[in-house]
Amino acid sequence: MSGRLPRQASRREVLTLAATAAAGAALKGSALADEKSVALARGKAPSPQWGLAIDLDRCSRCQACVVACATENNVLPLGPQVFASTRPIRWMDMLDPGGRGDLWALGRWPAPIPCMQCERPECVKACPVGACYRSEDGIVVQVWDRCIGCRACMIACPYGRRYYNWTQPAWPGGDPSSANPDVALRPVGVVEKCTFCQHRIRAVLERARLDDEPLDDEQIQRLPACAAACPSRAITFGDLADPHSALLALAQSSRATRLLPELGTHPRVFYLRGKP
Amino acid sequence: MADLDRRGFLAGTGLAAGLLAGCRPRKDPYTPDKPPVPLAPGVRMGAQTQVLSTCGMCDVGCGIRVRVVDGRAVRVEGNADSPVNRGGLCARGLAGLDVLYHPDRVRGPMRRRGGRGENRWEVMSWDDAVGELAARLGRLRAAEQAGRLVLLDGQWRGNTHALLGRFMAAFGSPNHIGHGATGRSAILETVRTMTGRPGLPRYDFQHAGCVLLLGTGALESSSQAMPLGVALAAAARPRLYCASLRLPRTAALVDEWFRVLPGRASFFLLGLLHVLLREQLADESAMEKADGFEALRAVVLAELSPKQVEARAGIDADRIESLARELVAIHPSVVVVDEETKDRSAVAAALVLNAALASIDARGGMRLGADETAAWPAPTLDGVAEAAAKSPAIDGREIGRRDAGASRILAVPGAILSGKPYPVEVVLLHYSNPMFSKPGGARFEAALAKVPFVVSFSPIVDESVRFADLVLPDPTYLERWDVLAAGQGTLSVAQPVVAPLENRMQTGEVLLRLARALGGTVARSFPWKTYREAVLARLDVGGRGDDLLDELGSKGTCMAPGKSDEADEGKSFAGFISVATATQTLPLLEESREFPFLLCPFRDHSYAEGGFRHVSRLAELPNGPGWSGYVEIAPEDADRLGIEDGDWVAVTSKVARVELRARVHEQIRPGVLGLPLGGWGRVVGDLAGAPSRLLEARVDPATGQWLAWETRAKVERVG
Amino acid sequence: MRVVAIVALLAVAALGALAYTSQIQHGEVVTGMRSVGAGGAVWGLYVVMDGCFLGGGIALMAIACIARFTRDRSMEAAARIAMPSAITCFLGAALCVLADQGRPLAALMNLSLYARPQSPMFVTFTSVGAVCLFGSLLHCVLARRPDLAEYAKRPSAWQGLQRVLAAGYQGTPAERSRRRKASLWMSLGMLAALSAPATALAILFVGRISRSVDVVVIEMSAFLVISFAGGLGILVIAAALVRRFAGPGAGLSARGSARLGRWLLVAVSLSALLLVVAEVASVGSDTVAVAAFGSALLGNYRGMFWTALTGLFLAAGLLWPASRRRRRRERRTVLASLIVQVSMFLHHDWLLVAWQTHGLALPYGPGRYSPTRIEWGVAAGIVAVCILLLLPAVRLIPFAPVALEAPSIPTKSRDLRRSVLTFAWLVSGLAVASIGLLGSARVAADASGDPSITGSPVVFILGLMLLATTGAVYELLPERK
Repeated sequence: MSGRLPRQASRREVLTLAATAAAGAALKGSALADEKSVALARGKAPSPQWGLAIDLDRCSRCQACVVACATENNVLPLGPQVFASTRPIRWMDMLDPGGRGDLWALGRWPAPIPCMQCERPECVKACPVGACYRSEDGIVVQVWDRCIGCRACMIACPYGRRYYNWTQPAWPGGDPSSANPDVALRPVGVVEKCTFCQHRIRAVLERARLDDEPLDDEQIQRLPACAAACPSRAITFGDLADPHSALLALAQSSRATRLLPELGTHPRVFYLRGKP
Repeated sequence: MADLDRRGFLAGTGLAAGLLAGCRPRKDPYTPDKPPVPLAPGVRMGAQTQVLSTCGMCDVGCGIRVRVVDGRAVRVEGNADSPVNRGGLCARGLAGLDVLYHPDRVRGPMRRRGGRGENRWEVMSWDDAVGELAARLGRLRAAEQAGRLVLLDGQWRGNTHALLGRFMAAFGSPNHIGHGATGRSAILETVRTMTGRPGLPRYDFQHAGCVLLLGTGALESSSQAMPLGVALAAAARPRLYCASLRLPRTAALVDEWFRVLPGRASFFLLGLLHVLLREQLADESAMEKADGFEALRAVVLAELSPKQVEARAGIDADRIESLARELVAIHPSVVVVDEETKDRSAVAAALVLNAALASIDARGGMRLGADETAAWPAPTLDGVAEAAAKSPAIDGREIGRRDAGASRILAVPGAILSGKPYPVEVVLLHYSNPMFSKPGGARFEAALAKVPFVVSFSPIVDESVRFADLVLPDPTYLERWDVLAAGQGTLSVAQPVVAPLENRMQTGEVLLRLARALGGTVARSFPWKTYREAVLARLDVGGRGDDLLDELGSKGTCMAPGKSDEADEGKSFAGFISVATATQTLPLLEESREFPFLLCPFRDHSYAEGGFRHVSRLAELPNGPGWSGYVEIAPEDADRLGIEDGDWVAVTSKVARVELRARVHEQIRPGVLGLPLGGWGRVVGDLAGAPSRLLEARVDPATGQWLAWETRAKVERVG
Repeated sequence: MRVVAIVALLAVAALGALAYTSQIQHGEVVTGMRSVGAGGAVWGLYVVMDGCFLGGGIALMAIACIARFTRDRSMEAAARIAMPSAITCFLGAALCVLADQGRPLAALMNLSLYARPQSPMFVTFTSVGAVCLFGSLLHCVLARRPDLAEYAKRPSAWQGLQRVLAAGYQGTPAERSRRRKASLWMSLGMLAALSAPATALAILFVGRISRSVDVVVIEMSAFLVISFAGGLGILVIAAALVRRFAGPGAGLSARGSARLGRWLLVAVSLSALLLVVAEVASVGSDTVAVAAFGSALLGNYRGMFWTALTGLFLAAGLLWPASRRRRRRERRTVLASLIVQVSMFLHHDWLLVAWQTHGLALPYGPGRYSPTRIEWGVAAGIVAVCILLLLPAVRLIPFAPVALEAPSIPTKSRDLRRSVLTFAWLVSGLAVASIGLLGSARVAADASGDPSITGSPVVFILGLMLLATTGAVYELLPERK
């Protein structure tokens, strides 16, 4: 990791990089090359460019990631009365294909599915008030106090990874003691989704800046709550623009695949399956 | 009109100008200070610490780090230094704060007011509470009826368990009855009988080449689930096979599913052994000197060839042949039994097969238990206590046996109701809620109704509290201090992560006070002033207590004194004492027209120790029980009965009728219904619809072990 | 009779308000909508009603503009009825959308400050505000000036307002000539402007249903045509009601009525045809389309779809004989119109909901959506409010032409001042609208995506309003004495 911290990339710069990145010859044979990922010519994109890899040959579907994400991000359980009428919010969900194997490139078993953090997000296009935008480092940010609850982004997201607060979230017993103070509570009427634990990323970057030390890829491989909790280390986080990151190696391997690549959304979540 | 128009235009421009003046730049997305929407009132930033502790949601003892902000525990994560979990943590451990901040906490010691079950309580002080219990127990002792004290204990190891055992021994009651008969006893007993070694075996998944799971415990919530999960992080993971009635949705990494018939796993394993013996691929050194080996060898070679077991086990003979060869070729291979394997003959066969594969106490194989810690000096016994050692326990176990594997808890309701061999005066419930969790829960209710005095140590209001006359609440595991043996020769510390939330006292401390209050030899058997002192005495640290505690405090885990850095060498396996159990079989399973399905109970991945169905996050997991529970049914059966996925169905057994949601999926044998235990419902006390009520409490008369595969049921759609 | 109707409408409106407070109090969990990945539909009855109202309203306004543009006498009466109906439809659409928002007050504020044209909702928001509501109202008032001037002469409760709105109309030839020109340009401009919300609405409803261009185009056309038919249907029903309650002179003439009937027949037949073609085109296209259209043919939504299609055929069948004769066949036409409303509603409902519950790209499992009583209550309340608001219009902006005007003779206007001022007004309107649009589009904004000028959408709306009032400026600028 070069240790460079995010700087403001101008619009023109990003577009130029996009043009340059079309020369993906070096990335042939990998999931990245096939889809000509925007702005990811090796070493030329402004670092960092966050991504996530989920190794389905290591994932035992234990759902620790689901609970870790919920406890980290103050996603509350519903309790029996509300559960009877609606499903809990799951930023990290475990999607079970059931009988619909034809729609699922990932096999017969469930798989963990966070927000895809697409490079060309449909939700950003759809939001009428700009509550949803894509930051330079690749995270699709949801600004909860801007959200008006129109749910156009949920209509737009082809992966269905956005959740609406149909009801006011309530702490069990009304006791908010276990609230993580780094993550805001969302009120009824706004849409929320996985943020790649943006607050943890920020904390690590701040610390690196204050210590004047470059970021170590080792530090960030298990940075989001899901990656940290996975007992099998099936989830790897990292910087796709760092030529030495573990994530880039995983994303470029022939085992890597992405969901619904034909839509052109270029998700930043890579699934690893099968023999190399 | 022109004026109006011009005025209107100017007004419009003025408005626009006003808006322009109000524009502001967009905030940097990574603003580190205030979140855009404020948190709940009373939730503030404040001083932050990380407290190292040990998870208590199951037996394994994963190391955890708890983030504490402003005196509130806000996050539980894995401790990277712990060799058990290496920084990862399972779904149940991560939901620990829901237990800590559970809304139905018991506030402090309380005495029942009004009738049992009315849920009216009188708060007391600890001195009064302990004094009252001491008075009662003292009276028992004085009347030479010490045996009429019964302790139902859901824990089977650890310092509190040992302290309770010591108390029962010193007090003079043989009735320290564990929960294991519904799961754990099969292994504990069989391993003890066959090898003389205590405890549950552990497995070196990290170095295994091929793993054959018996039952799905290691894929769901047994104590082997975390070690297996951690081993999957390795670059070369072991090949994983599973021999079971059903596969859970967490079985994605199972390479092949062997659909053994219920109760027939031992035939499958012995068929594999047959191939090994016949081809002379087996390592017989561990078995040669064992009692019954010649008979075993003869039977296996003569009657249990793959062709002969094919029909009985339900596995293709050719596959048995090829699997046996595979197990030898891809070594080290190991057959895994865990506390969910309720089948004694399968455990025995697994042990023998592991020995044949040279996988016992070997790298990549099964590690038999060793004594985990040093013991205290023997308690001081007086006449009453010595008589107890020779008197019968109410559960009908072997006289004189006190180990956890000996308990026969399912005999307890019958004994209490009939008053034989003697009536019961006092029942203590520690980590025990048998009305909910045990088969025949209704009989437990009836039995406890007959007991004059019931005491519960539960920290959360559950059925054991509802039935109790006196509640002496233990804090939750996040509020207690303890040192646990965490496997691989390490110790792990559990520390209070926050100031105590209620007026609850650790059961170990309560016991010490109780012993002191009782006086006499009982008090002399507990010379320690605090629980901490007792624990350190048990660890036999020889004066290095402070060093040990420092290391535990800084890393959460350390090597036990006297153990080396190498992973859990312990004794290495010298050989079997007896292998006769391996060829004993279970009674033939009955077919039944009225009840065509076999119930397959299991503890799914949301199941945490003690039931913990109150924990919302676990009940609401994907594929979890929801709040209504579910029953798994094969597609062929579902189609025949007109049941679709998600429909409400009524499952009826001989003892109960329960309504659950149907979950139709292919990973279950036709003719079998998968029944998850735990994680159901929310209303305490209303157990009529609990799934565990369906189970019949039939036991093997020889061992007292619950016959798990014996309950039959029928299912039909409702509504 | 009238009083009973009004009381009933007020009661329904009150119930709707009560239902809405329940929704505000508990959150939208009281509706039948659920998150898409969790087995539901996120857009349901409210957005379907919005589509029906907005589509119908656009159609009504378009008919009115076409009528004024062609200056067909027989259609002038239709225009007279269509305009207030369109305005109440737009109001209903706005209320439906607002009822659907999770945070309605924040919606109004944030849309005004931060709306983005990349989202189809921007177009519907701004155009509903500026073009549909404001522009229609203005157009309608200006069109009725002669009648208002007549009414203003009679004493009534509305007299003051009528006089203001009449804005000193004298009926001079110059005025009439200006009126004619202004109404021509305004109608043209309105028609052009209406294409934006129509397209946005079509994209909103149809955009997600398929990735195949042919299916999308055909279904969009079907959507627009069936909305047009719905609007025509509303007009037919409204005209019949007007004729019933305001006397024979107030409604459409026989010729006008027959013409409307023929238009309706064409629209209905075309919708049925396009719907069938869309269904055929969906076979073998992408999975979402196959699932959505498949569920319409044989799946969970077959009841809805087949009823809608049958309704269209039935309506066509009812209208066909009436069209062959020149006689009035009012009852049949009204019945056909009612059937068309139902078909339109069912079609929009299927279109919006089917793909959400059964046509997702990932294997979430089939969902279900059925509106709860709260949703029905709120929707009914909104409909009642719209009808209630229509009633005063009868008094204020009369349906029946009061003043018969002599046809105006086009005169060459030598009023340079007027032309220059009007042109300047137009240009400034364009400028303001452009600034607003570019600002909203985040031109020259930073990467985080707020408009460089906060409030750009409001600026855009103001610009559109300025453009809309150009005609008023031309018409109302006092003559130089």
